[in-house]
Amino acid sequence: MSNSLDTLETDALARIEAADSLDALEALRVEYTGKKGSITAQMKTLGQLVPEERKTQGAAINAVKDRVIGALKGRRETLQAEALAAKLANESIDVTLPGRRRPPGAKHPVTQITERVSAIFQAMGFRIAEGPEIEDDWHNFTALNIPESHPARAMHDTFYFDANHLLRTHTSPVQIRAMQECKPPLKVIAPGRVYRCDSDMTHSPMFHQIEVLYLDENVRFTDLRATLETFLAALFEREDLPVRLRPSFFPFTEPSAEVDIQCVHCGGDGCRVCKKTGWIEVLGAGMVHPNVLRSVGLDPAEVSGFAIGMGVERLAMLRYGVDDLRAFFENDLRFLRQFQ
Amino acid sequence: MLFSENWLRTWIDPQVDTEELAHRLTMAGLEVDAIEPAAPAFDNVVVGEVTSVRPHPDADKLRVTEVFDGETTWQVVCGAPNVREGLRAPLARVGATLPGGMKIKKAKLRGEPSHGMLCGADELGLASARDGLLELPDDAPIGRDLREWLDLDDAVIELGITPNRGDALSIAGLAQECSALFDATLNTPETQAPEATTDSTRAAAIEAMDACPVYLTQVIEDIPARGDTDMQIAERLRRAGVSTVEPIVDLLNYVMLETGQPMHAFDGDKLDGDIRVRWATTGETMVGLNEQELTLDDDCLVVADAAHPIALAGIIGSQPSGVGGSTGRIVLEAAHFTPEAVAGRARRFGLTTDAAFRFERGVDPSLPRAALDRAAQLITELLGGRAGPVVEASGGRELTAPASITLDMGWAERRLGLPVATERAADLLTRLGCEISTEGNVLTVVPPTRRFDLAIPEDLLEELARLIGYDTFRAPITRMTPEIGLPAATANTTSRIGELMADRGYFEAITYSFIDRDLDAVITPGSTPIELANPIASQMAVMRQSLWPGLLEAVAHNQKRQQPAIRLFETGHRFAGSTAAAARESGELAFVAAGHVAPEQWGQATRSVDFYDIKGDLEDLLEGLGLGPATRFQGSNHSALHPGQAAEVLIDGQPVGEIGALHPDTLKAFDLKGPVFAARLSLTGIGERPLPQSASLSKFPRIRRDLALVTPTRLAFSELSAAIRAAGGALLRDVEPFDRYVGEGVAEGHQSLAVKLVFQNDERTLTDDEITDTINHILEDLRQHDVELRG
Repeated sequence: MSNSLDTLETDALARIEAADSLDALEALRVEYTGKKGSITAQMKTLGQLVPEERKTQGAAINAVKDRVIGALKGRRETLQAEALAAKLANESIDVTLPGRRRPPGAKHPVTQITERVSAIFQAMGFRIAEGPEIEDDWHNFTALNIPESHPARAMHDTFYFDANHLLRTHTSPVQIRAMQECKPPLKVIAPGRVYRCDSDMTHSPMFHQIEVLYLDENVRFTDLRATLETFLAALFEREDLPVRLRPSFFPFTEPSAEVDIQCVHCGGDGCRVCKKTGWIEVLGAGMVHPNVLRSVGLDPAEVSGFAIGMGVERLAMLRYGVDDLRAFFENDLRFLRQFQ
Repeated sequence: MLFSENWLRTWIDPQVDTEELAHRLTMAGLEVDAIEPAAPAFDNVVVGEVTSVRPHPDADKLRVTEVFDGETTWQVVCGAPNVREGLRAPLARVGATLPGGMKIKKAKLRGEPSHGMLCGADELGLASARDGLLELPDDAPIGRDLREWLDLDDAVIELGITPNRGDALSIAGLAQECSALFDATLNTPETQAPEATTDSTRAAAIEAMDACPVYLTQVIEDIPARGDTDMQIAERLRRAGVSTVEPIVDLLNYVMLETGQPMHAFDGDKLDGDIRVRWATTGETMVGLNEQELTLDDDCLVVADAAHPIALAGIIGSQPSGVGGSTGRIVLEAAHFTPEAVAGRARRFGLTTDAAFRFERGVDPSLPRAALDRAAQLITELLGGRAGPVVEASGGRELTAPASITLDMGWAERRLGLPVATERAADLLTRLGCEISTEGNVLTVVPPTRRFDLAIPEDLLEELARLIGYDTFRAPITRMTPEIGLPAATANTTSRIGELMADRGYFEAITYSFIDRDLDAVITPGSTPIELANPIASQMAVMRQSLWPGLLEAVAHNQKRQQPAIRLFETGHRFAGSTAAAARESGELAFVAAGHVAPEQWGQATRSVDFYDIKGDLEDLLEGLGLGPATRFQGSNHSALHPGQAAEVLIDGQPVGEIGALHPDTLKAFDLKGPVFAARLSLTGIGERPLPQSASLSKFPRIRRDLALVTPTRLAFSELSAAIRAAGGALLRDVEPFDRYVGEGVAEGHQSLAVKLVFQNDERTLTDDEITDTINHILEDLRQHDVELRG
């Protein structure tokens, strides 16, 4: 009896181990442990035995049954794992092939600089102001202390429509409009297109400027420098960027300054970009001229302020290493793609 | 402005090198743009004298000369046509190095030994009017080193002088500026006015007193025939960038460069009667020295004789009255013309002259007499001739001192941010030539007559700040009123719009605001654009009425460069109204798409962009701007667009833009390969979005039902969906088409459209019966529109 049980177990375990599919395994389960299975049949023979034998033989059959069930379960898990592995192996792909793309475009580099400059000044509390590009003579020149005969008008190379209307030659007329609209304290930044009838390697008939105006009681020359240093350090992302102010002339500011930063290419040692001077001119600035304040009905004894004007293309050229101004207006995708 | 450093140093010699001098000038507001050597490097070149010349036995064009260098006579072979016995010319001796590094060695030229080389001006990097050897004057010291003798170890400094600093446009003016900067004294050269040795005069009268307070004349006659201008003077002119013309003219230019006073000489034998300074009459003409015929206006100041204008005052002389090489009798003019009388006139006639440049910026009105004396002295000393007495024109007025300026140093501190001691301020301003009186901390300042730019206290602040050094004025910001610079949360800024466009694959373009008239008319026919009076080119003649033309030109540019997928956008002003006075500017967003819809990829077919691609971009943009639910489209007509592929974009029922495929004629006008799609939106129309408001989310399920409908193709989907929504009532939440079929099995003029309907009730779960009832109601309603369920 026990010999035949041993044989049954050995047989069963060997066949289970050899089963190569879940279907074959299921057939074995039925064959051994099903209602008509051979282990079940063994159990049915227990009734013919004496009680002592029945007890030991019963325990032996149950142990065999447990081992067979355990073997069935183990084999099933193995076969399932193998099947999954085979399925996954079958599904593998070349992950280095390129994906299905819809690549992003980009803002124009001039816009990127404009927005960066605007964001820096907005963080200092300046708000964005706008004005028309077709201006009248008064806002573009007269109110800015540039009378009819002033030599500075010759430097502006103005596009005219008629005796009184022109394309603004700078963003400064937005200063005038801002002052007409709001009383000080006033903090505005005005980016936009400006126009001069001049076109060659280094001049475009249309370009971009950003005007900054701060008016309040007792704004001082030193405040201008402090603001410029904060702004330029933020724009060029160098905490201690050396900045220098040189006396210059703009009809609408007094004192006036041209503002240089230490050359960002050579760190001040002198190179082609800074023409060996170690400095790069980046913008113009000054204290608002009393005649400008008077032109909008403000009293220079009560209010003072500063104005800053910068050329966006120049900043973009410095920041991005663009060496041909005309590239900004050709709208060549090969150029624009570099600013993604 | 260019000037010779050594010339300046004869007036004032600060103990600093060239670089430091340039730095100090730059930081004082006289920006140094460039520093160049007066002559390139060369050495061992001396003044030689040609003592004999004989033909070269073996070469027609060469001569064999003997040249004395002060110690030795050398045989030198020379090819210059002007070599002759007795000529003094630069001799590069054996061992000399010429510009560019050429070494002079003993050589044989066609068999004749040559010990050195006779040089022309160009070989030494000097300018000369003539080819051939540089002819040195007969008194040039033989054997003297040429660099030394011509003072060639000098720097030419180029200054960018701002329009307010006309006073610095001369050696004298720069010297005065340096005197203030370095606190050093001036060595003004002595001027010895020539004694009057003739009684000849030319009377003058001023009729435009406000424009010309001072007008001086002086006759110089019996000026002998003359050769070249004195070499040292010519060199200083060359370094100032002024070419030599004729000795009298050259000397007057020299006096102008030295003193800052523009001068003029008339041919004394060509004037008709007395001189008058008067306003021109409209239409009066004059031929300028440059042979340009000028038709004058009544705001042009002229110097005239009894018959004609002989000069446009302070700008240019007339050609007939001009001085030539044989003129023996001249009338010198030294006058003050006010900036107002000169400004703008030269530009009007397209003239740029040194005189106009200076008078427009302001010339010291006290200068004419000293300058006239200086010119008369140089002419009589260097050229000969007899000078007459100086005559001051009648009708002039006394020059008044400039108005005084009150400078309160307490106010100055409040404006500058740092204190400047009253004594220091007084000292600095005195150095500039101001007359100062002090009371407490208030200065009363009378600026010098040469400084046209000093009129108000702020001008003096700049003077103090620049003399002390702008970079000295550093202090933290004391106060700034706190303000918020951010735009409203509901503003759709151009920055946000740009981000959304870039995220959808569009690159931002910046195109010109002025465009070609014909291209403008293609896009905006029947509307007159605003026209520029002075465009730089015909293709930039009118202000754009739409951003499309510029973008389409950019598409063409990129198509010509084989770009397979082109997506561009731009934001900017468009200009409506037919005249500048009536101009209406408004912001526009425009975008265009052409070529592949996506980059070529191995796993999907490549296809061209179509209407629904760009429409999808537009819809997603408006969704991103919070305007999705408010947006509608309706078919439209636009002559630049395809008649069957064009739509108007509406937000809250208001038209805000257009979208469509370009009409074949438009493609042709812009030289484009189609199809090309374009959209544009008014920035005002999309500038504001509602602030999002949250609603509670339904707990009950959404139920989807699909319908296969056969609809007439003329029935727009917008109408179909509106009919479905109307019939579906409040339970119907969404209507979306998901498949469309035209062809076999569907009647001509019809399409099969699969539509997804989504139902939901917020209070309870919907029953099948409710939904079936609603759908039946919808289908019944659709029959009116000739729409049937597909059988």
